Amino acid sequence: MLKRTPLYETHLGLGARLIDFGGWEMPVQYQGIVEEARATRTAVGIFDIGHMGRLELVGPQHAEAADWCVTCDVMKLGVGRVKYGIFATERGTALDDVLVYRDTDRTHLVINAGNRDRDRDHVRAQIAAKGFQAEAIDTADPAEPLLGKSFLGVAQQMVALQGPNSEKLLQRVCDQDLSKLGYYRMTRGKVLAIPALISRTGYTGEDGFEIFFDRKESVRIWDVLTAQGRDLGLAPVGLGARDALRTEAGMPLYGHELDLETTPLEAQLNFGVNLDGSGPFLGKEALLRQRAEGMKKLLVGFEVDTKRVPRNGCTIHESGDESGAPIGVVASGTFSPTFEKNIAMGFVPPRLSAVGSKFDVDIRGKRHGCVVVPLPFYKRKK
Amino acid sequence: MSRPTDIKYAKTHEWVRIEKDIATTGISDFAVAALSDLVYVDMPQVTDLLEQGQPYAEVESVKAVSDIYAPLSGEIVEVNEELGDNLELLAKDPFGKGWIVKFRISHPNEVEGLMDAAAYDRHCKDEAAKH
Repeated sequence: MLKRTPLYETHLGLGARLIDFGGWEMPVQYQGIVEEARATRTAVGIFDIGHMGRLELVGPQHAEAADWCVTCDVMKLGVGRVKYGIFATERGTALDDVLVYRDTDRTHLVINAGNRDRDRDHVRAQIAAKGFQAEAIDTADPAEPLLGKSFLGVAQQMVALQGPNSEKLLQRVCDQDLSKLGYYRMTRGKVLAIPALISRTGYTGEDGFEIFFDRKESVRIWDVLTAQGRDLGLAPVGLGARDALRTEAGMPLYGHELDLETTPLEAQLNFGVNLDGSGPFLGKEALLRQRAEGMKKLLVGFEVDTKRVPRNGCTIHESGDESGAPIGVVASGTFSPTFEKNIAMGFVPPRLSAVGSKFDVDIRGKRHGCVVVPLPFYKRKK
Repeated sequence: MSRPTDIKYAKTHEWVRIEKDIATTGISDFAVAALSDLVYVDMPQVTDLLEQGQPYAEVESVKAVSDIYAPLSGEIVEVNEELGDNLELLAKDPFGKGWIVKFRISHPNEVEGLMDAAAYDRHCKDEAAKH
């Protein structure tokens, strides 16, 4: 049985097409992927991200516990700031990628839908093993016994607004001055007088917000935002457009750019790995070793000389090599609605990672030439 | 859209119009709607051989690639060159200007395995109900 967010009926009413995503029955599209991606890039899109996991760490050592579990530096993260990091294994490979929110008396972690249970168990096991005075509350789970200790006191839902008109829209229903909330900052506030946590974050490469609130208010908040956003060009956006948008923005998707056999250094996510600080974290020694010894594979962005789309799992080969073994693999590939051409990311040997390097990709039995281009493909104008 | 009754349909949502020994084939309105956001059709070439039920072309959407299957066996005699730059033809006129290839039929009796429009309508309703 697939899990559903409180907005399931709303999606059906909007004519959404639903798919299984990480065990969740989620909208993949409403009007169409291209249209939804354009609405996000030019106006504002609203996304149900209730499938994503959230952990709230409370107790005197909430930040220390997060700092140990995540590759980025949580101790140096100021209150009200958000940072990207990785849950690494002892081998330095990725259990998940995560956004860390430093709140006044607690730390929030936003994790991927498909890894919710594993992440929760991992963090709790690490807290126990290291003896941190902290507890991890699964605030996405209505059955969580510790919910009473969480910031909202109830199970949470999450929606995202993404696109240049996001601030204008959210400001209409929010008590905080959003013009003062910078990128990768969070604040507590109220949306429609409902207590919420609001962050200027997202997964599209656009300006935008992610909003956490009582899951029982899901339909009301969605409906009001949708109605208020009509004159701003709002469109509901499904996972299909979300995937194309995040690929354009060069953002990783767990299971594609990151997995248990891939380190954040190989996925070129060094900005989320605090190797040069003094604090220890799980996986640090392995990552230091890998940095010293060198990587065997590196993630690159590339374009391909065909209209056929290189997709996850397509093998990468030496240029002109018709019969040899693969030297790499495609992580993500899509037709880009913004650039109207194919874009892809994949793992290659470091010697082929420089911009301009050439290799071939095997798309269902046929080889096509590729050239490495800079990541991200899309960068918004500020 | 009411579907043409002078053509036959395959379970995999291709259609075929037979005129003597030459057949024209394409994909149905149901297939176009289900795929959505089409960006490219990788076309076969004239003289390529088709085998009933086997893929002979592929269609790329933003999200995924899908095979297009041969409704009957035969040899391609013409491909729709206009489709390459104008994929909207598939959505606007799937049973007309959105045709994909014409081919010379090699096994005429294979047509017995295909559906008429009424049976295909029911097939589409069943598939839609599954989702």
